[in-house]
Amino acid sequence: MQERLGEIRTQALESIESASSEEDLKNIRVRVLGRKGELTMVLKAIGKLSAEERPKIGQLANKLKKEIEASINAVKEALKGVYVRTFIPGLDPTLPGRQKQLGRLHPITQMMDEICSVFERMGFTVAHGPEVELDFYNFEALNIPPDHPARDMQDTFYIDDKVLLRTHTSPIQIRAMEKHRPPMRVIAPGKVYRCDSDITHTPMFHQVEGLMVDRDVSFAGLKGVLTAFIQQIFDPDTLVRFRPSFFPFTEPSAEIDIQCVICRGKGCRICSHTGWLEVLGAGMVHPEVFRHVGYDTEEFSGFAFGLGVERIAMLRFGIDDIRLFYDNDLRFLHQF
Amino acid sequence: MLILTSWLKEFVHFTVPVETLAKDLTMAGLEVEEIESTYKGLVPVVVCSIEEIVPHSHASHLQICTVTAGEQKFDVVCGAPNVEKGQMAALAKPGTVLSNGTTVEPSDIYGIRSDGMLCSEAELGIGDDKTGILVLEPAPGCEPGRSLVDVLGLKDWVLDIAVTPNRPDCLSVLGVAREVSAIYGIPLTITKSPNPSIPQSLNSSIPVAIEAPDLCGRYTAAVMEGIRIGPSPHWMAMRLQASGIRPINNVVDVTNYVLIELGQPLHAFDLDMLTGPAIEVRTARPGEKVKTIDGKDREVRPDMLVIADAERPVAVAGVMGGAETEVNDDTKRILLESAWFAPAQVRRTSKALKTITESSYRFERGVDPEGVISALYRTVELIGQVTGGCLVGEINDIYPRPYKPGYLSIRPERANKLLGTGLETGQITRFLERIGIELTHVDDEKIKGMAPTYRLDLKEEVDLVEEIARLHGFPNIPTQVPRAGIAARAPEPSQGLVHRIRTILLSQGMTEVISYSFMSPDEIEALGLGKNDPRMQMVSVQNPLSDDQSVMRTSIIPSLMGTVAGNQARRNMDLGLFEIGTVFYARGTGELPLEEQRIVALCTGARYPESWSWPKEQVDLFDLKGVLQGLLQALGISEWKTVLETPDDPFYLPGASAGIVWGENSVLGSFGQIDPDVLEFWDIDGPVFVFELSFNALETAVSRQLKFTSLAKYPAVERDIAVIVQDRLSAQDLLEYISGQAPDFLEEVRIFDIYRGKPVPESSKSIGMRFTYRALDHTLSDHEVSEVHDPMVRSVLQSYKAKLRD
Repeated sequence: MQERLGEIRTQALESIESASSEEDLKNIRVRVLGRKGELTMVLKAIGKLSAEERPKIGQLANKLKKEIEASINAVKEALKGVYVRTFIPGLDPTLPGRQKQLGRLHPITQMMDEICSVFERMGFTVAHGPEVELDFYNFEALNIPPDHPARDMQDTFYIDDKVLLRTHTSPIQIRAMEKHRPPMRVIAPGKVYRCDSDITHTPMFHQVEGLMVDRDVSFAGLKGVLTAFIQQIFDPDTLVRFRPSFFPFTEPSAEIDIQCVICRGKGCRICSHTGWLEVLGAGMVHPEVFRHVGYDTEEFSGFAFGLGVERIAMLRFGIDDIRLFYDNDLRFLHQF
Repeated sequence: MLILTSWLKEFVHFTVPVETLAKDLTMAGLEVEEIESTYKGLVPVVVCSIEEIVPHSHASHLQICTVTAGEQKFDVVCGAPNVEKGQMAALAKPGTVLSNGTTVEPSDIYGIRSDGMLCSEAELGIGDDKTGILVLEPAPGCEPGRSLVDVLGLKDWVLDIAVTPNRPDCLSVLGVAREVSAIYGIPLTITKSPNPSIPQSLNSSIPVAIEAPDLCGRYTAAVMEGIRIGPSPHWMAMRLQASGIRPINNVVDVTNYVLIELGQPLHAFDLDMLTGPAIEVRTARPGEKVKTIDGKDREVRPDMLVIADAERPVAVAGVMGGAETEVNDDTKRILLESAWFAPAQVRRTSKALKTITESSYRFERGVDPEGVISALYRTVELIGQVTGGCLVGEINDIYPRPYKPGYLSIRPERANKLLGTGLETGQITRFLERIGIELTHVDDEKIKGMAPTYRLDLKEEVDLVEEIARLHGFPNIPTQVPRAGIAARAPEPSQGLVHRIRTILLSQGMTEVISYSFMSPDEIEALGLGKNDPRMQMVSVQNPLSDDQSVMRTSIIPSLMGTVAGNQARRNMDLGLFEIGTVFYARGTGELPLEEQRIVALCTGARYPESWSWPKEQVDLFDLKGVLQGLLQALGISEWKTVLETPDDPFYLPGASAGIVWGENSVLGSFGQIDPDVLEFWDIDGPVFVFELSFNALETAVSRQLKFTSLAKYPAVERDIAVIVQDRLSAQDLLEYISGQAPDFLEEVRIFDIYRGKPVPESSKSIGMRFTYRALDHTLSDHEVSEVHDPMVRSVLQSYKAKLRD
């Protein structure tokens, strides 16, 4: 009898040890501890044993029962969280899905939409204007008379003496002010053209120009709006620096730098080791511009700003060659 | 503008480190783009001690010196006559850049390896002596192994400053010094330009006449004799080089030196080459020419100002001097010119001659009219110093239109309102004084004053507001969210539509591209358009970057063809692309072209991405038309149809294209397969399918309001038929015929099958159609459907001589 118990123990523990599922354990339990199980049969047979043997074997058998139960439970615990691989013939769920070609918006479009939406949240309305412009709107009305050295700041494509490809979207400012009285809050996104082509310049690029005019618009307000803009487009804790500059159509004029997004201000190739990156030009609208559109320079003041969309996109996405935007290589476009 | 800090220090004693100076200048509006240390090339030069000298066995004039520099020993081949054992000298190790621009490298000299070079002052660019090597006197700290730059204290910096066009006064050392003085509130060491007593001889003034006083406001001239032409002293040559100017000879160098120092362009004529001698400032006469010092023959037009002698023009005023009267090695007597020319005049001439010089750059921005004479004095003084020449006679100063400085005023309240600041009147006055405004009146309401003559940019109140803002410092102006009225104007309706179109095309797997608005006329020619086609009315760019960008595009199709070609070259063969952009049609000269928006989409290559799960199929016309249909459907444009009669777009393969018309013949655009002959121009593997839509036409079609239709409550009944018809019969004609019959309850007819081939006879096809019938108010019975369906089918069979397919 004792030998039989030994056999049951060895077999049961071995099969419990090698069980790989709850199902297996359940079968073992039935085989050993079930109603007609091996150990159950031994326990049932105890009554037939001699009086001396009975307590000894009974004790052993009960001890074994507890040991097997404990072992089953332990393995059952261990098996929890182990998933079992089930296989349906002919079906391999690891194969790639039947994915359709995804369409993408050009990164410039995405960047432009994002920029515009920041300003639209601040109450600016989008306006458009012609890409081929009159010299008057592109230069003269913006206080850049003929023969002024400021014309050199923008290499211009000319169509004829009076007509040119707009070098900035600022003419839209003038067109908007000719049409509407203050309060004025417009942004003008669009394509602009300058005869220049290298790793940071393409003959066509995109700008967003903005204008805000009312009775109490100040330089402090300009700083407020543009700081909010930059912190929404880049990081909320991006450092912003306003420094004096010159644009004929604004005064005071400012260039706005952000702390270099690549080196965090330590100085690197991208920021020419200055720690700062120029991202915006801005300023208080020059009275001469207001005179051109018949706004009272004493009553109204305003600010204007402009930014290059490619530049912002290059910084945001880490693109090092502006010409990639116009190569339209699918491998490039599909990254955005 | 390159500014040497040691030069700057002669004018203003700033004490801050160079990095701080650069930052403060930048924050005051003079952006310092780079700080470069001078003597950078001399970093590898060390002090060495000459331990041993042996003659070179293969070259009698050379010696081999063994030198030590700290721990290290070097063998250097040297030919200098003054080398002696025990000397301390300057050893240029490999990597040193010498003053002539060459880099020292280890070399083999007649079979002996030389680890560097013992240098003279001149070779190092720190002095004039080139007779022998630089011998260093023993001094504390002058030890072998130490850097020569440290030992000699060769520390200087060049600031590269981006001067904006409104600040020509800062295009000089003096100008930048004035800014430094204003920023830090420290005085200039030289307040008025020097006007020293200059030794004079004989009395011989040359007559000067200004014939065009509008174009030349002032002309001053001085004659000097006893000039000995030669190289400039080292200190002057070094400063010029550091400022980006190549030294030429002592006279020319002085004129350049004063240009950099004071910002006044000057010119020296060889007096003996001037006919007369006399100077006339006049406009050019027809046919006149000047050979300028750059060796170019320039035709000067009558609208250009020249400096002439008694006979001919000898300089293009403010731009460049003439070669014939140029100072040369034999020059003994010179005439010095310091003048003020009208900025716009100089700019026009410089543009017309396509020549920008240091002079023209400053004149066109505006030089100080009052600085003209002091610059001349400074030049005479320096030329006297470096050439031994002396002034002859009186200095001629013709000043027909003396400069009248403008009076300016500023209201502190206005300034604070514009800036959003709360500056006190006292603070404002102090800022104004620092930039040299001579105040004439100060109270809290108004401050009045006179701008310095070099600040031609200060014209009105706002100009002073800017000065105050930058000296106060932009960071000190508060950052506030503005309180301003809301305009609340509706956005342009087109804006939303562009957005919708993009999203719909995107959702169909199309990728957006943006291409240049330029194209080449050859590309539009390649489309095979007729002479009278509006797309032949191209807008030409006068100054394109290249021929293939010489006109504005009249069609987006060439742009997309270029994109396909570029992608195919990189093996991106499967393309679904679209672009929304402007096309330009020329109108008259001086008139703006007509600008219209176009939407163009294109498919080529495989229908599905390459995968185990997709069939390997190529796109065809109907993939493209599907995208088009999807777009129109999503925009709510239902009443459109294709028209097969489209003679306007010859770039499509005949028979594989159609026009798209909406409502009463309003053309929305076209679609089709691009003709293989057209693809060949771009070297594209076809087939390529394209649709093009006019944004304006689309906008009109889409402008109706979307209305909800109640959902059907009763079930539909479907009937399928297949009819065998002539292959030429278009599906659209058949469907139009059916809808023309207008059977009751017919909700939709859908083509579910097209079949050609046996048993369908040749030149025929079978069209399988599913008819859906539905009543709005009850469930249709079979009988009801048959009553309308059967006659309709009979009528189709009869009209098209068609048969039902079993």
